[in-house]
Amino acid sequence: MPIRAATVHAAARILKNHLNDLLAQTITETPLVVFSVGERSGRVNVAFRQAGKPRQVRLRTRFGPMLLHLSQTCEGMPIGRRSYQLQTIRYRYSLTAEDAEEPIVRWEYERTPQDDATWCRHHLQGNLPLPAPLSISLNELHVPTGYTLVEEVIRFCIHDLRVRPRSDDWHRRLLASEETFKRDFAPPTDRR
Amino acid sequence: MPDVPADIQAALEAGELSEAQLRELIRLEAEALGMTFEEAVAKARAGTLPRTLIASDLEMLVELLPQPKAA
Repeated sequence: MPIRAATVHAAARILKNHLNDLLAQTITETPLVVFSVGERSGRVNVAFRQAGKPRQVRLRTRFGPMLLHLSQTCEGMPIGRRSYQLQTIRYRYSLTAEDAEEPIVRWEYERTPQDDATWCRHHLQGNLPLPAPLSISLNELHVPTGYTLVEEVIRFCIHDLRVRPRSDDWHRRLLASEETFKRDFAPPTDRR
Repeated sequence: MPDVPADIQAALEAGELSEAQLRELIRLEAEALGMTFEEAVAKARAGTLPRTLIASDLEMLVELLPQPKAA
């Protein structure tokens, strides 16, 4: 299902419904809030919110409760004269211990960082002390990753953190959603 | 963080904010971080905000503002 519609607002609604359906079938019934700004901006924000404020979703993991936050900025790219397709220009996904201020781990991506940025566009950071000889926090590095899908973060939560999936066919649903993204959503440069 | 006005909450649920509403949401998050709107936007664009939930969200919201033109 392409994230494509006659307006950016309509495309945002398709994205919202797709992601929230996926989340409800896998790890949480808490919906993402998706909004566009005016008619000219062409950009869309995706995040968990409650009463307008950003929120994290509490997950029961094998390490105890952890807090998940998912956020994206998408841009509506004109396709011909009559439709827009959404493409992710930035994402930030994080897992935080329940009583912590900063995430343990963050997956981040910026399509076009500032000109003087020489770090990896797709990277992993976190409030994790690294052993010798590094002896620094993971926050001081930009460990390269591939383009990280929301589906892969969900999979990590279920497989590695042992979050109980909300349906028995979570694996199939994630595979199908990943395939949809590769086929219909991502421009070729983001599939690297 | 201060409460988000009802009209902005309704606009978020409806899926579309005006630029003025976006700026107000950013201002509220800036206030929660002890900053003015201008300070928060500058730090967001410089990538120097703290790594907390509200700061991270503010950074993402700033991306929705009209981008400054290159000098």
